[in-house]
Amino acid sequence: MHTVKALSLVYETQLELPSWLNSVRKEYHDAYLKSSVSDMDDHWKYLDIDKIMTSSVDAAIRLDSVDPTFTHQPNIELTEQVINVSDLPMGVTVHDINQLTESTRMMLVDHWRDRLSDTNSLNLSHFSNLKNIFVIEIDDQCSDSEPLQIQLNPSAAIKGTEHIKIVFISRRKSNCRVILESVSASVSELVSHVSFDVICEDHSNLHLFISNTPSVSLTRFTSLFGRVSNHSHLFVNYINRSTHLLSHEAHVVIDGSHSDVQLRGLSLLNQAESVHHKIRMHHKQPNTTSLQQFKNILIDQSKSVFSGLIYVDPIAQKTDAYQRNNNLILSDQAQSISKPELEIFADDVKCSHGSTTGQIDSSLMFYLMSRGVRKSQAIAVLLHGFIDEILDLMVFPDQVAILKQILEQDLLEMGSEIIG
Amino acid sequence: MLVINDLCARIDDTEILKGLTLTVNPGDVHAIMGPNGSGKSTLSKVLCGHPDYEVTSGSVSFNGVDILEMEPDERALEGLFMAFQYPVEVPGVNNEEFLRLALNSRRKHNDQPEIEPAEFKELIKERLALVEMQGHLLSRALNHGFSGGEKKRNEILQMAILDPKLSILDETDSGLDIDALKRVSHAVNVLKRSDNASIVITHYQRLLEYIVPDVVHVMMDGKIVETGDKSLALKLEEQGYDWLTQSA
Repeated sequence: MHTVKALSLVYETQLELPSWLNSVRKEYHDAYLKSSVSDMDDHWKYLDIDKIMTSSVDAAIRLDSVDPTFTHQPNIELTEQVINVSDLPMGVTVHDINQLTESTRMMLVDHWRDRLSDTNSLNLSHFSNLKNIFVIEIDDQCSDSEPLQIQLNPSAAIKGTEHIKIVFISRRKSNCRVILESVSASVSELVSHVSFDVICEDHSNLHLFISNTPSVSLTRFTSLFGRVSNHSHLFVNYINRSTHLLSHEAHVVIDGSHSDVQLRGLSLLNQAESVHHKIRMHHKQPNTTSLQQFKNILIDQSKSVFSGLIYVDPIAQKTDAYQRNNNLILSDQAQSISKPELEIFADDVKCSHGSTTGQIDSSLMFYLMSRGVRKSQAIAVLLHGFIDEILDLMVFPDQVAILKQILEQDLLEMGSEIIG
Repeated sequence: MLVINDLCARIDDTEILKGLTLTVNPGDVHAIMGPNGSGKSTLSKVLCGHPDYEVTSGSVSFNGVDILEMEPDERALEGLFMAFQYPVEVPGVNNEEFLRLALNSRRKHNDQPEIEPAEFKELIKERLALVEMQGHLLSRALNHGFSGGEKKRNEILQMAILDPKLSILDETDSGLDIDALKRVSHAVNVLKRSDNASIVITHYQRLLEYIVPDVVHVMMDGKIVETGDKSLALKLEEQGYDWLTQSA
């Protein structure tokens, strides 16, 4: 097994944003003030937003909690105490937001302004309340030998809502794998909103593995905004376990030909947990491919929502896009909502979607049991089969091996619970 | 070995088996033929404990044990095996790992230790050669994306690994080309011993050219209406089932 070096981003204080970033933030804030609750309600109508709004947490996503004055606390210092630069893989740099080059600054400003018009209230609020921002740059032709692992460790001092932004710039011909894990061991009640801006330049490959440690009281949002250039590949894998409310939004613009984007997600939910995936895959150039594949196993009163859109511009001929959502419901009260959508404005494309929701297939159970496999084992085997379809495609062998060990216990417990 | 007495079974409100009686002894190969809808496949599923079927009367004793109250896995562990007519595809479940799990379940039931990886490799290599199945199919998901012939061959591989006391081959010949049919039949013949038995369900006499039955039964309307030796199968091939309907 590889020894994975961890880049620990510790954030305790609020970032003082540079003026160029503050001007963009002001635009987001103005847009946010013009947005309405109904907009948010519409956007999140499939999710139990009451869980957040009635939470005891002082959630800054509420309209009245936005700080319009932009007062800032002292800047976090990106010293070696916080980020051990020597641990970073060769060719990967974490930038202080105040020290970006002019061209990078301009690229980011363009990226943020470009998506301002179709950003929803939640993300407008997020940018308005931004507290920390990290820019991770993967150099030209950088090729990792082992993944970069980033742990997001909210300080115990943080209360209420955290707003963090991480920017990935994957330069030309780079090839990098990044593991992002949200850690919440010391935080009892928190609304965490992490946004990722992902910019993939020509001929680059970026694999993201986004997971969280279980936390029964934590509400997590992630928003990913990606832009993929020519001949590039972006793969994002979401693993969701045991979080009070978890929402992943991804908006990827495939802005270069011969590029491929694959988003996959796997959720194991129990009790009253909820997970929401909202995906918008925008094919903007010809000859591109994309895949959305999300699987959920639900038990107790848990709930999943998948809302996926494939949007194909008129010039994006020869698009090949597919979305798939499979839900395995293991209790009477669990709920799954699937809303696949296609908006296609080109005539020479191949786009399709598939969605299944159901219980464990009794014919499969009979087949396995007819070979002498016990019922509880047969359930576990089928649940494993269900999730392995996703896990086996991930290029993070160490993480997948660890995850399979962890999930083994989860699946056995689920199997036992079904049998009663 | 297997004693079925006046067995009646239904699915939903439809009575399928209507008083079937059959005895299979160790070392026997029984063939069951019959027209579509006569209940042949239902019999195999009922014997293996398919949950969709309800036994309404009669008894089934396997090696002296009443199996009707047993779950499918318990029947399998007692030594019952069915090669499915339509093997299901199980995505995400590795074929070889499942084989090892099934074998170890049986070994555990028989108070044997789990098979050593090297021993399992050797066993599977030998059995693969017997059914002439391509090894790469082991690394794929169970039956997932297999051709019809590959699925049938995989069923016989499972049978060869699990070494059941009684094998029920439910239309194993359907969908097989002549070469595959010969290979599968050869494997079944090699696995035949004096202490195990087979029930071969088929529509066609052709399979029985390769797996020679000791007894041939004809099933119609949920029960066995005629029993004979191999010549009965030849007669059916020539004359069909009408003469049985008329004589009834």
